[in-house]
Amino acid sequence: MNNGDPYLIGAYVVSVVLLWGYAAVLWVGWRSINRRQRHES
Amino acid sequence: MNTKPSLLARGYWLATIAFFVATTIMLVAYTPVEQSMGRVQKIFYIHLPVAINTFVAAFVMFIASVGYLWQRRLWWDDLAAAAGKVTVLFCSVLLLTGILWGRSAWGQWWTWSPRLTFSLVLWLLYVVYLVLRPAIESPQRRAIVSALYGSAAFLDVPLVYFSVKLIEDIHPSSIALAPEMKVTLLAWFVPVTLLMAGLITARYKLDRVIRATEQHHDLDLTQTSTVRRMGGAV
Amino acid sequence: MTVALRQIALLVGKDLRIEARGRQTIGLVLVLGILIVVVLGMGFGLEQRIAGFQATAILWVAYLFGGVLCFEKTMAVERNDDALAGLLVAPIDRGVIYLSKLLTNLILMFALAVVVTPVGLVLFRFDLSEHAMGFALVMVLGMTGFAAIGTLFSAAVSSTRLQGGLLAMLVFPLSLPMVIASTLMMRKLFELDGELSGSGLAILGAFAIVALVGSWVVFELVLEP
Repeated sequence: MNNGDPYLIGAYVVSVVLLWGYAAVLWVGWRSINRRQRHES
Repeated sequence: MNTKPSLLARGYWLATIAFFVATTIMLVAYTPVEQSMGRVQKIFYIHLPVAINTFVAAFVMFIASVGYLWQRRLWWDDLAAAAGKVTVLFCSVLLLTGILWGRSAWGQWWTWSPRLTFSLVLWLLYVVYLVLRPAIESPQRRAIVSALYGSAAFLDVPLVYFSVKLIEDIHPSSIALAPEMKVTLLAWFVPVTLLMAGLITARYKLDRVIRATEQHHDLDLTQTSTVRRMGGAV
Repeated sequence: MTVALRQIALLVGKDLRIEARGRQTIGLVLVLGILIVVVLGMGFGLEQRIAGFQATAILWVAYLFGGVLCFEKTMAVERNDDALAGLLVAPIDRGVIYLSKLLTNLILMFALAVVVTPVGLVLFRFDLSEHAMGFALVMVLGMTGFAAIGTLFSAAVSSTRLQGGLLAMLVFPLSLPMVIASTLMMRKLFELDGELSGSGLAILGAFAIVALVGSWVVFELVLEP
């Protein structure tokens, strides 16, 4: 196990959490919009 | 209003996820380890595509800002806001991966090297854009000031680039890339770029739908209005 | 061209006369500048002599923050008695209004520098003697670009609630290239006893020109009530 490994993994996790985390936030936003639409129709 | 994600949107995001998973596997199993820097160098394959896409997002924000100044249609402002948010997101990833890489390579969490300083200034420039917007109440005023600042921020980027070049670069980091490395690098551009474009589009459409829905409620229309496909990306 | 110059002279004269009567802005700005020099100077240690480039850094901060205050106040003047509306109705090119405000700001900042620099020199024995001309040149170039941006955005935010803090938040990031270039040059000049870097001057010059031309062109978009 190379010394740099925790940093490599850390960098990957940070990227995934931020990028896909934001995607998830937007997805939740769309879902609540869809729910509102369904309740109105 | 039908705001369920279209087939195109679903397909787009499924593809993005698939590419992301594939390139991750590639990074672990296929990409060779660089001689001098060790395994941590693999951060580079994420870092560089993220850097390029930060600029592309910033450029989109610039075009949208200029577009608003030119035409005064609010959709330009919506696009600028969405692109601005994605720029900060990607720049944060850029900064953090750069810091982690630097910490591993040089033992320090921070150095005022040209590259890190550049990332930091870029980040500050665009974070201010995000903080600026909620500080102004009137939508037209907010749009104008944001558009001015957004245009200025992008024009500032080359100046920042040249000013940090004045800093002595103690850590040059150009490395020779083996063929497999080039393939990996190019491969990573796919999911990262798809993410960038997808997030801007999704944020843009979501904001407009939210605003349209609120206006809908304000007008107190109770009947089910004409069904309009919003064609939403997730 | 001469019409424009005369109009600028008139507007600047008007602003300076208002300033001379009330002395509000210049008072605030000078006090702020002196306070910054004292506080930061103390921070560096009361008994130690402050090195050349540290001194320039302290003075820089004083000029920049004092400058932001100037920008805010010179634009705020127009909000009294609908003065801005009167200005806009008059047959004056918007660019002229911009240049006159910019010039007023530069004059006030120059006054700030003229007062605050000797204060620093005396209180903390700043040693600027060796490279005074270099310092002055960098300062003039840097402040011009800074004021160019500051004048534009002070008009942009003058109708909002948060004015001052917002203005500082907008102007400082945009001015970072200028700050980076000038602090690096000061370091090279004072600490390493070198010369003014040509590329550094080029960056400062480019910054000043782009800021000036860009702000001047775009200014009228900002003047809507």
